[in-house]
Amino acid sequence: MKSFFSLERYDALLSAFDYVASKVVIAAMAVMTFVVVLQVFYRYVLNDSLVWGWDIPRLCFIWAVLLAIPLAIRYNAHVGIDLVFNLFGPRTQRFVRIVNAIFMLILSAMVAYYAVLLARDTWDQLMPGLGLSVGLFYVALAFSQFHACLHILRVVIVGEPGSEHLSET
Amino acid sequence: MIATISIVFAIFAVLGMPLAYALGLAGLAGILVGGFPIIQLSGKMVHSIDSFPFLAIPLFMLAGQLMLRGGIMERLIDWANAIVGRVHGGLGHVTIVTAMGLSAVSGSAVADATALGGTLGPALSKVYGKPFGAALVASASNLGPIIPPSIGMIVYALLAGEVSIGALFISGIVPGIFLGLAMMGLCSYYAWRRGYPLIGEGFNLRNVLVQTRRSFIVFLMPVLVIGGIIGGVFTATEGAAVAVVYALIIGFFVTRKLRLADLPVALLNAAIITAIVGALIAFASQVTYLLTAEMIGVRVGDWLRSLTDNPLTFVFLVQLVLIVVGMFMEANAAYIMLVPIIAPIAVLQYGLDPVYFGFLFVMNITLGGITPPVGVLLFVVSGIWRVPVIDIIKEIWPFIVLQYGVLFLCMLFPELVLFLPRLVGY
Repeated sequence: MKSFFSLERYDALLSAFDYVASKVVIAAMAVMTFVVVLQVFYRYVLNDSLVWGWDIPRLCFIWAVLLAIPLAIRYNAHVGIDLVFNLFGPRTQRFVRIVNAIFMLILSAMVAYYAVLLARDTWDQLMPGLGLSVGLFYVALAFSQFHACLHILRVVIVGEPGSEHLSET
Repeated sequence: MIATISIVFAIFAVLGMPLAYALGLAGLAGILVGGFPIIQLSGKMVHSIDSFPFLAIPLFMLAGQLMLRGGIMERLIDWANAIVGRVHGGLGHVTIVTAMGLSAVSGSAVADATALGGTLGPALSKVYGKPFGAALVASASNLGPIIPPSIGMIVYALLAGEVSIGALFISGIVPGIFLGLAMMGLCSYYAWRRGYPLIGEGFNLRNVLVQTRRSFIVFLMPVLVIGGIIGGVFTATEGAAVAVVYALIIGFFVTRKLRLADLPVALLNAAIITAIVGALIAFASQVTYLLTAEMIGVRVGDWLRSLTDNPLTFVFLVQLVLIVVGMFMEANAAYIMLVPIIAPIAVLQYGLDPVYFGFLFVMNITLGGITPPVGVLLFVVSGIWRVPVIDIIKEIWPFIVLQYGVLFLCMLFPELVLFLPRLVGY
């Protein structure tokens, strides 16, 4: 009988997270681009400025960048130095990879935890040009690092990195 | 504390952990040793990426991707062919001239290498063989971050403070063109020595004019955008947004090659590439803060000044160090670890021009993309052509020597770098 907790199920869960994160990233990028363009148009064509012309793009930018960090883990896109690592045999590589992943997991989990606390503490502060909470920045960080934990945990369990890579064009 | 940070970072970095995380863990170690509240780790991560100029990175990446998907490569190649197609080693010249044109709309060497390899790759391997073709594309792609716009220059300016992105952008134009011409010279030498055949159609002024008109829309973008940034009409971020609009108009209405379905992919790609830089900056923020609080920059600067008071000697030493760094480290990681410490020393303690020093820094780190053992562009072209990196290295070393030669010329003759920025009033 197949166990309830299988790697397939875990991967399906990860893919679902990746799907949602990538949709949010795309939307945030699109809104960011649109509002910066709109702001340029207002300033140079209409000689006017938008009160939320800075807050919306920075909120979208931070959401897009933070939520894309775990996606970059999926595509093995974060840069590292593998010169020494490549000298190890397969068993040592696996061991080192798991040890690295455990430390990364601890860091991401701590960052996520404190991001939640910061979001709670700053929830009542509003952005100057916009009626939105400053806590939203930390919500993005909490999501990002929780999602990162899921990707790193997979490496801890399997001992192998994912097989996908990013192409820049 | 500095020792703890350095040791923790060194151990994890050497063991192949992503550098962003190695920096983050080093910062965490610093917090624990220094007895700071851990919550500042998360706070600093968000604050470090909360900056308007930073938005220029995804926007320029997006504009470049949209231009490529909009089919500009075909026009650029036709244009280059019309100008330099009919000379010995013409295809090499075409590659370099195309790369120069591409560099004016794209700020990333990796994106350029992928675009050049994907379009000119098959022809290059037929004429020159795979290793030389790959070496040529990797070398020519280095023009991407040297000729504006440049992601590397934006990252440098973000980290250095005190230097304008516009001034850095314009400083790259003369050295970039000079580097392109020098590489064309090297190509001709190879063509002569190895007897590469004459190919391509003869030079024909009418054809040059026709192709220039077709490529005009590609070149109008840097004129508007970079011109606008340099002229102070808009900030780098606003200029990048204008570039995106321009690319959309060209792709949808002029070349008509861009499809709506391309947009989400381009947006996601631009975000993920920015996230690689963003993760480095965010995770490094605690380390940067602690190093600043410990006045590490000033201490390193004082120590350096006890060795030499001569600015040129200092610049020379920095260039040597950066060459070694570039051999082993990816560009963004190198910027994030070194710029906050070295840039203030150069400007405040040695009184160097921030644009001159910044340009040399960016150019040197960019050239690191083709130096073994770790050169991002070597890996990219090796992947495209399926050629072992070692075969490419055998063909690329004259280009490496040439490129560093141009770097040292720029170092010895600051006018090469500063002439244009001064002309427009920086």
